[in-house]
Amino acid sequence: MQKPTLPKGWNQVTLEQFIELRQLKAEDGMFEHNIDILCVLTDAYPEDYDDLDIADVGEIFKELKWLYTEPSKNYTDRIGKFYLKPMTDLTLGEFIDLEHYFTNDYIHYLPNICALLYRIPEIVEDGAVAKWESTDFKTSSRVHYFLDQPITKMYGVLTEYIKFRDNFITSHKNLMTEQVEDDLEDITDPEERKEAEKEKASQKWGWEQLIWSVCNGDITKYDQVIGMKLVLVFNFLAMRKELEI
Amino acid sequence: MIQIFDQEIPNKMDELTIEQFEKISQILNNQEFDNIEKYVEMFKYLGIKEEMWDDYPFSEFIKLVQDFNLDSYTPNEAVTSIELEGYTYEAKMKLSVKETKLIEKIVNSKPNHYISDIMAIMFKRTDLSNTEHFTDAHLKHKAKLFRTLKAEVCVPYIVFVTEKIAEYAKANAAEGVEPSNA
Repeated sequence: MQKPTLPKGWNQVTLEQFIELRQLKAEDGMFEHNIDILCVLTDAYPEDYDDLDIADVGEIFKELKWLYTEPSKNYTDRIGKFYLKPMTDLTLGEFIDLEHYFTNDYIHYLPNICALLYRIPEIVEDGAVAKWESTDFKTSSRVHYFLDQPITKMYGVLTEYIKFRDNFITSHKNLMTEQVEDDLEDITDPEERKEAEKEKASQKWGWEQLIWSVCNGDITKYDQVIGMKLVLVFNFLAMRKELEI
Repeated sequence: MIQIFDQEIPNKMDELTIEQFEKISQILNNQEFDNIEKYVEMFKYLGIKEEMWDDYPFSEFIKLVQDFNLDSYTPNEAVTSIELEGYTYEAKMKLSVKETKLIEKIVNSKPNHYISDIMAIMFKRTDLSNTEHFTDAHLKHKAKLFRTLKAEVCVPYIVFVTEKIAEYAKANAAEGVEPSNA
């Protein structure tokens, strides 16, 4: 087998390859894991490497030391026709979707996360977005635009979003539902258990309750509420809580 | 051979079969036995009944264990061609990706017979292609055949494989991810 063409750094690794790399497990041993890494990076099948000598694999991995570094946290604010939407402009609905992606296997959902954070502008004035697209779209219909892009274009955005999310959750902690332990069987006191069950149900319907509260019980306003800016909704809720109205 | 009671017990690599060597290694590495139990169990496997030790002086038992372990073995040149059941098997001191992956799997999942399994991977029947060589049934059959060979045959291969994999692991151990400065 000829020596494969290897990427020389993270800037030559696509988002799709990055996801595959992060999803690889070393359960079947370090060597098998390394061959899987090579297959991802060179778009090859494991059998393509079967006849290669172990020493040659060792040599190949000497050129891949950069794999053990984190990709650059710099990012681009434009990917093709998509512009990076400022995080402070995120709507409640977008934040709820992002929460779903981040709390359920975020590596798998990285392209969906990109599709939510990078958006098509409706009006661009002097190179800046004056109005964001207003039509609904499915993130899954846009993931393919991002899968082929180098991970270095958007890796920093992801870490930036995690920072934004952490800050946001910390500063609005009193408005977020507290985590209740999963196993209610462990709670022996009947009163405590009843309270925990109530909390758990409240946690399950956390976002719906929040929207219901902002709608003042008028479910026909659902779309309007989820289209409101996240920051505005939470400031409004904080005000209501403080003034007890 | 060492003499225990009225029996000749094999203790050298050219006396033990691969099967015996595997079984002895398995017993001596069994954490459930204490140091004495390990050797009683090993001698039992080699033909000395457990009750024979009942009235045996402990100091003499220790001496026998020392004698058993005294084999100062110097590995010979690797045997690269073996005739078994009318077929020729040949091996090269070389490890391919396919072979290493199989060996890694064996070491992780079959600690009892890994020596004969490794030999089955290293030695290829000359009249068969690579595809046939790596089929499960063929490897299993060969491992069974190789278990009957003297343990001295396997030593150069086990040393080679261990060294190669250790070298690889040392050079390519996954380091912690360094944070990006950018």
